Amino acid sequence: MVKAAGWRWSWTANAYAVIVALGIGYFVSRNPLQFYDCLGNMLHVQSKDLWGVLVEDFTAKDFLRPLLLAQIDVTFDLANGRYLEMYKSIEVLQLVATALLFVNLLRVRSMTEAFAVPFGIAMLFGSHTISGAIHEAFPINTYLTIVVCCLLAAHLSFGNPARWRDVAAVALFIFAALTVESGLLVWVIFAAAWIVGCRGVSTRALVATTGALVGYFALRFAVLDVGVPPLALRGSAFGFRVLEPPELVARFGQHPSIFYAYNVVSQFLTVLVAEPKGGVWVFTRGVMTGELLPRDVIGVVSSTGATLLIVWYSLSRIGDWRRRVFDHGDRLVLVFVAVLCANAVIGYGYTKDVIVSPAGVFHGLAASIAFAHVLGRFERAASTGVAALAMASVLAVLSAGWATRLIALHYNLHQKAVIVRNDWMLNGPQPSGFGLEINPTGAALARQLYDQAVSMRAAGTYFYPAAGQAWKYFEKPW
Amino acid sequence: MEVFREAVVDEMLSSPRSRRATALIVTAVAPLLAVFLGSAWAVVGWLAGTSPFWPDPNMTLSEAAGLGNAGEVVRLITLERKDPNRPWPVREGILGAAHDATPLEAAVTGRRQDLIPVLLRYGVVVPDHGAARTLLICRAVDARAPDIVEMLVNLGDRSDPRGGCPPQAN
Repeated sequence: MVKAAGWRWSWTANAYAVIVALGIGYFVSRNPLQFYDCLGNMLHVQSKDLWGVLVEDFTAKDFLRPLLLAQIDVTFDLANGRYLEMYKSIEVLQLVATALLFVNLLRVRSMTEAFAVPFGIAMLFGSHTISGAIHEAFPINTYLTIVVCCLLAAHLSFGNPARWRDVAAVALFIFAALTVESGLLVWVIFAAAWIVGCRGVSTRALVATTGALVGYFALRFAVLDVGVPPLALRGSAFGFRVLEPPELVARFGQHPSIFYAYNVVSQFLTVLVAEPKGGVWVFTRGVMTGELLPRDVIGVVSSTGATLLIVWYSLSRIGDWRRRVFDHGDRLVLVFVAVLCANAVIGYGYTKDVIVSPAGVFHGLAASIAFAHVLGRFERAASTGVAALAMASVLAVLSAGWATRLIALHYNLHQKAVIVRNDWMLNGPQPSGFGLEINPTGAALARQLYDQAVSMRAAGTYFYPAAGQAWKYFEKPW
Repeated sequence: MEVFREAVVDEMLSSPRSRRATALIVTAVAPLLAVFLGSAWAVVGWLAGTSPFWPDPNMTLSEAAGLGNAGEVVRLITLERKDPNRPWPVREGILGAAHDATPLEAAVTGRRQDLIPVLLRYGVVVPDHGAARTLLICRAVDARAPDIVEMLVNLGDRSDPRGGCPPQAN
């Protein structure tokens, strides 16, 4: 039974999360729909019905993502011409849902736990792993959809057992897995949570979801012969730069496993220490060349600091863990470890920070638990002497780092509005390459989106205070 | 457990030691609380229909061109009906000292090559020949923008006036 004061802190935490999410939503709402990745998909679903979209995507090669375009198709029809409003509303809802699901997984019931929420929310939205999910729309932000699915999976697992949770678990897995490959992480969350003692999703439902997982692989490799993306599909980073497909084939064509291993390690490390970024060792290169920017330091120090907090928390709990005694926070930390490993492996094909956005979110959850644990120490300490003050100062520095990264998200969303508008203007109201000359309805859609981009004012970050220096402190997600 | 925890918190909040603990906790998250105020301000502004943290500096057409902001260039020409062929003020710092320049001159000085086709699409006239054309190409030379020089030389009478540019431009 939770007392009224506990609920008060919980409500405060929820309100905090919603306000931060809406603050980001405000910047999102002022961005036009993207030209790249959006127009092509919208023209595609405009020219086909839902069945046609599904059939085409179930028979595609390299990727099995039939529900990605299906979601765009359904929302495109529902929008009934109000595409900007539809897709911006979806993203704002995704942001609010992400924030609420995140905070409620922390189960805030006290002042100390509530004070850890700002740290968690800053990690949630400030991490370089999720910024791509917020910036990149197709025009639905699919990676944000997967983040929401992963958080929902954790909620299902961590809740009280119920039949509806079992049904929802299987449905959620199928939805996520057929949207994009990292949706398979939903199963990892169910399994990891079950292993550490969560029974919100029953054993029977876990078996059913495992069956669906096996079915997914059978469908992908045996029935539909979708396969996996080839090495030369796109450029990817290795070391200090991005290699183009021909270079990748020349260097790794004979031994792709080396390249894939590099990608897995890179994805793993980027969550924990924010290096490499997108597979490129930006911080290391900066140290070697003497061209290190403050944003590189802020990224690495804040991510590493959060990881060290988790390590410290884990060490302080290791005794109980050996006896298989886990509280809620322990379970979240252990599920994070599983999500991190699985997410890094799923991203073996090429390095892209947004692929590990689910792991980044669980990193934030685990670090919030650890952060609350430290704050709890302040409460319980017999004295609040120099050591406590020093620790509080260290945490304040860490908070400042994450605060900077959270501001950077907003700053970059403004700059992104300029970039997106420029993409439209440079391509013109009837961009080539889409067959618009023979497609009047498509041409009308392109014109509508172009005109909207024209009318959505964005002066650019030049006019922000201290704009001449700000870019050095704010990491770019592109 | 929760009852016990809250009893402890309530008791601690009222004692001097607990006030110190609370101060430490607030110190630890102070930078994040400051950012939260910004978020709250953005949300309030959004609800009120204002534009918090979204600068609206009333850019001129030439400033937009100099900064490479094609969206603002097109908006000013098509929605605000600004003349793309006349000089507009450019504030200090955007392209050096404050001065008046046409959007095309500003794009050339700012080395915004991508923007030039956009300007041409919306009615900007590149001088065909004579001193105005020479001046524009010399401006591109001065800006050390060889791609723009190439583009401009291939427009109009296709003569190459670079030999006539002032010495400091070479």
